[in-house]
Amino acid sequence: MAFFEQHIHDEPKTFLSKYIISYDHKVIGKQFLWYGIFFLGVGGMMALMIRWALAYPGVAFPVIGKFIFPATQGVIPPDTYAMLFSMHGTIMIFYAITPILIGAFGNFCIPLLIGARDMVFPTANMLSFWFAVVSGLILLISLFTPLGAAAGGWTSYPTLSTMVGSPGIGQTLWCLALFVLGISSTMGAVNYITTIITLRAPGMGYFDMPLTIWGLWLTAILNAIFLPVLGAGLLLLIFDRVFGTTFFLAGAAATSGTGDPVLFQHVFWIFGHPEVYILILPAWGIVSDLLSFFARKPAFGAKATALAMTSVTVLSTLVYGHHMFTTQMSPLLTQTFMTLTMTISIPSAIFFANWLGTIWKGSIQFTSPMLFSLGVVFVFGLGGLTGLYLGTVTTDLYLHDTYFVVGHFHYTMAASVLLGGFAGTYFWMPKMFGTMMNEFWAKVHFWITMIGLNGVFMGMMIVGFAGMHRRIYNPFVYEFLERLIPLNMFITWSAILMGFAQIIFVINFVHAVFFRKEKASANPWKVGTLEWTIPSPAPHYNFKEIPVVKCGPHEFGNPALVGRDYQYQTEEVAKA
Amino acid sequence: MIETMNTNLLTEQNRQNEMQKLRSSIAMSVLLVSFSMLFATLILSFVVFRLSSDMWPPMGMERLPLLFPVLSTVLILVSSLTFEFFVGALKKADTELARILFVSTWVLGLGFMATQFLLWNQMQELGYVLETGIFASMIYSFTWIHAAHIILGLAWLLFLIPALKQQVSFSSFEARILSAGKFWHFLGIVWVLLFITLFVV
Ligand SMILES: [Cu+2]
Repeated sequence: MAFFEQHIHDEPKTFLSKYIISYDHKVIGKQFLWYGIFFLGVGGMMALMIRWALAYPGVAFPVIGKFIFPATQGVIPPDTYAMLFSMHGTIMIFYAITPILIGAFGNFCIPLLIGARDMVFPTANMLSFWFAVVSGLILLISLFTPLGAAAGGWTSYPTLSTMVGSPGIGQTLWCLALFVLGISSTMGAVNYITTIITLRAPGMGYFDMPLTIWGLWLTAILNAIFLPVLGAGLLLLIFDRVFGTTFFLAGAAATSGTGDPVLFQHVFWIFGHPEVYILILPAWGIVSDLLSFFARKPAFGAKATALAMTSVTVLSTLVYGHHMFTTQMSPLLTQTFMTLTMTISIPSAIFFANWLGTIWKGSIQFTSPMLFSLGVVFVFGLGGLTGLYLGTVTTDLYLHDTYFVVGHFHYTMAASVLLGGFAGTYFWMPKMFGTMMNEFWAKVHFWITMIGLNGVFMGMMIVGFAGMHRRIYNPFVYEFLERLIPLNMFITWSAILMGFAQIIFVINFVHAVFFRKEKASANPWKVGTLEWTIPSPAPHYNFKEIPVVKCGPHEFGNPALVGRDYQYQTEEVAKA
Repeated sequence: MIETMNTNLLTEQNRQNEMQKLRSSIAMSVLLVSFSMLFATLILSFVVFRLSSDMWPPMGMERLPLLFPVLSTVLILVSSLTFEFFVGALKKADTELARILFVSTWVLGLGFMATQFLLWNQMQELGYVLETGIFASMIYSFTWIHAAHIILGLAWLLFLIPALKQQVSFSSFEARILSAGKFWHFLGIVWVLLFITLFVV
């Protein structure tokens, strides 16, 4: 497709133009990374509080509890508990995962991996970050409003989220924050899509793009299509809350036409199901690439992987009803949604098999990015399989709104995406900041995270299967759940273990960014994609000369190569 | 020698303009998909409420007089036409005519906003306020959301003013003009759909 060279702007000189109001995609990527890591910490703290309340109901939260909940001597009050799980979900999904996977890696990787000097619309890119900051601030402010932040769950179903259920301003600010974030993400999506179509280096066809770019591209497409759906739903909810309309309120005003709470569920999940893929597609892409890079083998069926991810993207738009089986949907509709949901297994199984095919008989290097990628393969496999029980009407009727659901979506959306994000961070660290992170501590981080994570989410699935409902302040008031207290304590301690493991990561990360003296080499992982042809960290204008691409991203182990087992994308495929 | 350099520069300039056009047409397509989904969701909710009620307008409600909605429709459609003529005049480098047509597009846009205000006033007088149930709620909310986009569109059109100077080449502004035009026409189409759903069906 058409290619054109961008003008070279001058390098910014002042602190403000270099690090704050930056038009440089690499800086914006890093800004999103810090933003995401900050909110990861906030959301993680909330998770620990939720877990504490479930393992030790009525016991004060240790150390900081007395300062945060002085009125109850450190015990988490019930309404705060509802606020905590609502905000934990919102923050993790929209303010941690989205900025890290899409904001940070999207911005940083897209131009570098396709051989461009910047995004196609640098100004929109900069605005996109600052809209995200405004949105984050609104959300944080809502925590300090008189009745507290939103407490109607991350899905904010009416009637809970209308003035009847949440009279405080927190819920309104929640809607506003997500609406602003939607504007930010839509701007980003327009930018990503246009950049990938118009700025690929000469010679780079769509199938010569690294699969990371495929993942980010499909994500951007889904974002552009479905975020506005949520936006419309949020606007109507804001109207209901602020101006007194009755879109989502049924009953009272029946003579003059009445609203419908279930409508919001439809609108929310028309967006919400694709959102799951919006979050996971970049991680799939990154893992597909990294498995090949560290197995030192071409990605098995790379084209099929790309097409399978595309089919998942298309299918993901047609299955949202599986979240609403319990809303008295007609059986004809539930079965249709069930069948379509099951269909997603086919493309998923294709690229999953391709991942296994990629590492099969490879000479695997167990570096930290590879460990995290293999971790994704494991947890995504588990998460995907348990999804089948929830996509099937008969089993979902029993499992709906239990901790089984919580365990399942944490395996797919939290664990897979988090591990994928760590894989990417360890992998691109030298190109981002010019230094490597400590490999030993990275591996320690991986193993502790992996043990903690499986303890938490496996435990959740078990207590869910035993019938423990999600979102109850103290489930043990029900006699049949009392026996689950020890298991819940195990989950909580696993969560604490996992939380501590992240401190290792943060120290390692901060140390590498600010204090490490040794500079990374241009290509420490011995990989041939375009970003490794330039020095580390990537210079201001990425590529002095726009590269010409002559082969795919996964050319490993070609016997005709002399002295190394990889080749750059700028080289012709080696022939004997 | 100098001549070939000049033609080289010219073709390079043309190439850049062509690329600019391609770039913004891709970006605009994506953006319009996003905006369409926003309004499609609103219309979806109309369809749900319309199909799930036994009678429409709901009991105790009457259809609104069509005067202002029809006026709005006429104004916005004519403004789309004047915009197209404006593009044609610029192409023929008829700056004088282009200026008149540009100003008329903008004024017609303002006129649209005026009829919307008149509509909202009339609704108040007839006793339809936001809280009077789903029928009035939808008319107010949807027209407000659309009007907010009209204001955005009017602001967007202002970015075309530099193209009204004498002696500017049309091709260097083409991408910008086409994008603003697409957005303006899009708002017209959305209004027609809202007109049909909210006031006619
Ligand atoms: Cu789903």
